Amino acid sequence: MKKTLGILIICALMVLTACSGNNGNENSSNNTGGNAAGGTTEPADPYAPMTETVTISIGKEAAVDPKLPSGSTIEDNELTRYFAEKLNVKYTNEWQATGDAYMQKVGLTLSTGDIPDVMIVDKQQLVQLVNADLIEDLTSTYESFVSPALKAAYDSTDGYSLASATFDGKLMAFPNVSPGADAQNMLWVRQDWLDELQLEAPQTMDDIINVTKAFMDKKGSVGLLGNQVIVNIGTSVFGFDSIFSAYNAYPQLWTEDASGNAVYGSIQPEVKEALAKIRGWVQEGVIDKEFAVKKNEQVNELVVSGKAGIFFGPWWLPFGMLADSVAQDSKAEWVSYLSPLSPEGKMNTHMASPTTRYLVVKKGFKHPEAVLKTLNMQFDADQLQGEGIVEKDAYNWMNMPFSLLLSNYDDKEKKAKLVQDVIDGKANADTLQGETKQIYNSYLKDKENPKKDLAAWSQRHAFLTGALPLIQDEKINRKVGIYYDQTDTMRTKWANLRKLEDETFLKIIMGNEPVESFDSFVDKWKSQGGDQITKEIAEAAK
Amino acid sequence: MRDSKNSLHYHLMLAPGMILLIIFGIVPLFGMAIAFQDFIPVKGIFGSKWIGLENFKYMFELDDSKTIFFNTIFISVMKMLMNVLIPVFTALLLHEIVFNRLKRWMQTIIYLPHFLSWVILAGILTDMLSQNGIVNQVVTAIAGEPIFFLGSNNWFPVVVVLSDVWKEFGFNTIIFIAALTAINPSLYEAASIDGAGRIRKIWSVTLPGILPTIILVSTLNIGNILNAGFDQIYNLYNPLVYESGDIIDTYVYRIGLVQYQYGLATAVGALKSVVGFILIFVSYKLASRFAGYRIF
Repeated sequence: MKKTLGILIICALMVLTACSGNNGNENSSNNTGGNAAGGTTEPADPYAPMTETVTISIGKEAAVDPKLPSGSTIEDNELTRYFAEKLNVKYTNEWQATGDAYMQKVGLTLSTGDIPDVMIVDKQQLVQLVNADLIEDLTSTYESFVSPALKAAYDSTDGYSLASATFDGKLMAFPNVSPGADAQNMLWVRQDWLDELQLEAPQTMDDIINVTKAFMDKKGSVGLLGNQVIVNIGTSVFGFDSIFSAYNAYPQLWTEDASGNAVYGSIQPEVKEALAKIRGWVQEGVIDKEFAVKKNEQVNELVVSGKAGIFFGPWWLPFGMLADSVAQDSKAEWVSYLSPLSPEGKMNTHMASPTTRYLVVKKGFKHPEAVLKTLNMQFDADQLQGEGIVEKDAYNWMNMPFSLLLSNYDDKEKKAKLVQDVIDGKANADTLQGETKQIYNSYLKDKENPKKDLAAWSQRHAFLTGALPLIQDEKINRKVGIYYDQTDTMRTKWANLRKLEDETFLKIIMGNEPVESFDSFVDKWKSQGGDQITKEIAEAAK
Repeated sequence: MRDSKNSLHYHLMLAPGMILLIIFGIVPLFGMAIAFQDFIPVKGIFGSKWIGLENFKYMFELDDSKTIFFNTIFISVMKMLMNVLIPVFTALLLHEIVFNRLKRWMQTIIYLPHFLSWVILAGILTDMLSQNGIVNQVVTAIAGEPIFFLGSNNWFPVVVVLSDVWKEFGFNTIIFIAALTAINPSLYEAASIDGAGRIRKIWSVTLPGILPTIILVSTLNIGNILNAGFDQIYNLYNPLVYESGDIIDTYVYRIGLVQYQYGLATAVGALKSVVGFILIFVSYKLASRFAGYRIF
């Protein structure tokens, strides 16, 4: 009897202590929670690990070619392991998809309503999610936990990025910041061919055409390359964006006319002039006609196999196609020029919206600060290009937990300039850190043994050949759009208007329709919803 | 029914097929509700606004709709015709080959392209049909000017139909060869005794012998009339030939999955299903009437 009583008492004591232990735990977790929400005077550490392991499920956009060695996967590689360990967070990929399929998968996920803790959406989807109240308000998380470096990156777009993710004063998503360099196309030319034929570097559009003709006659190459998508504001490889802007035409960009009204670039008379020019060159055969029926990969092959020596494209091409070209033919020297120049001696170019993707956190997710801390670290890891984190795996930013591109707006040209100053002896090599140090090392390595190490070749030339010219602000006229999002009417009418535009432009260029059909396109565009949309945008851009 | 104990295992064997049909064939039919909505994904079918026939009205207002329906029907009718005529012709030719080994070789070779995916074939075709590709080298030698096969609205449907026939005729031939072997040899002997030559025998014995199969195959194909071949066209087309090559399926893909206009895309898809159902019904009636083909 006594024994049983004793046992009962002991049990009761144990239960009591257990309870009080629990209480203590709850208190402490409440405290951290309070800190996160309140953003008290004491700033929280943007890199502190979570007190208890947090699991984040992700709708993951995987890299097309992640280049991971065996033993590493998209969900579990050196980068994800590093983040998991440093922050005490477990990242699980609820599902993954690549490229266009990712946005389609997100679209389908939205319709089921069963969204993962974190995924990346476009503006239209963000608006839907906000209206449906399915995502977390991140305002206080951002204020308390953003790292100074990431904050500087967001500030580098003059507030555009954060503003576009803010609804009624609440930050509802972490926007991406893509470097402004991506949208500025340059002319890429085979310098070894230019030298061999003793030609000057092309400056005006006429020069470009003459060089192309010389390449066709003397080097047996195809003409100037093109892309089925003739203009792409974001990133355009082989597109005719530069030709249009040389004639002061900015298709697909919403701009202001002389009197400050919102106008759509594609329906301006300058576009007609540019179309007529391009059409002439296609007829002459200076522009390779095949672009209209070929997929981009097939056009890539022409460059890689040495059948093409001149085209328009962005700064990063040495990282892909051009490295393949050099691997095929070690004599190939690719150089980029700010060309064509307008009569004023400047290269015109359209600028893209720095923010097109938004990282959203599911409503009710307990630790949004874990997401922001991950982004803080992702930004730093990307600035270092994975230095000190990856050993066996090749560095690819998309192998980090969240596929959200975060960069300073002027990141590329600025880094290129820093390295170039060291090369020119204007600065000391000690001043370089992280990615700039790597670029400098790549430069040294490739200079000593040209084209032996293709990774070094790519990094050297993407920055020092591709991005460096973009630092010359005085030679570039950058046209920024007044509005990059979608309005209500666009949701239903835009697909049709774009089809009308794409078809008409391509048909005029290919000579299937007379240049005059541009005028009837403008009328149709206006009457089929274009006027309505223009009004909405004038309203929204105010 | 009559003997429920004995038929139980038949029902069990039928069950997996029926379950699959219900999951993938019948449940998705409820998604057709989207066609009558201003569908917003996060709100789902129950939360989105009902807008009646708005989507259908918009669909019929679009210039594209007529073109798309016309293209779909034109391309698939041409494919159906050619995919019966050419295999029948080939089967007759193969049937006349005396050397069995040669016959089997031929059968295998023409059957091979059936197993290639359109993604690969489209790449090969684009190269072959390009301005300085192998086909245009011949064309240039004869006519002097290369033809822009994949960029011309006159030529694109021709390329689509011919390449499809080239890919599939070996497969279809097999069906007709099977029908040919089922013809009673004594009929041929009788015809020989009556003094019939080869051509006469084909005309009076072989063709009537496989006529039921020809009718059956073609009528059953009518149900497929609105499937003009998504993977083929998606991999071959470009904005230049939307006018002659855009079919219902590629249009629904672009509008729905690429541009998120779910309501309109579902409306177009729903119309396709309704027309397809009517055609299947008609073709079944025709098949049972002319070829004695029955399921129920």
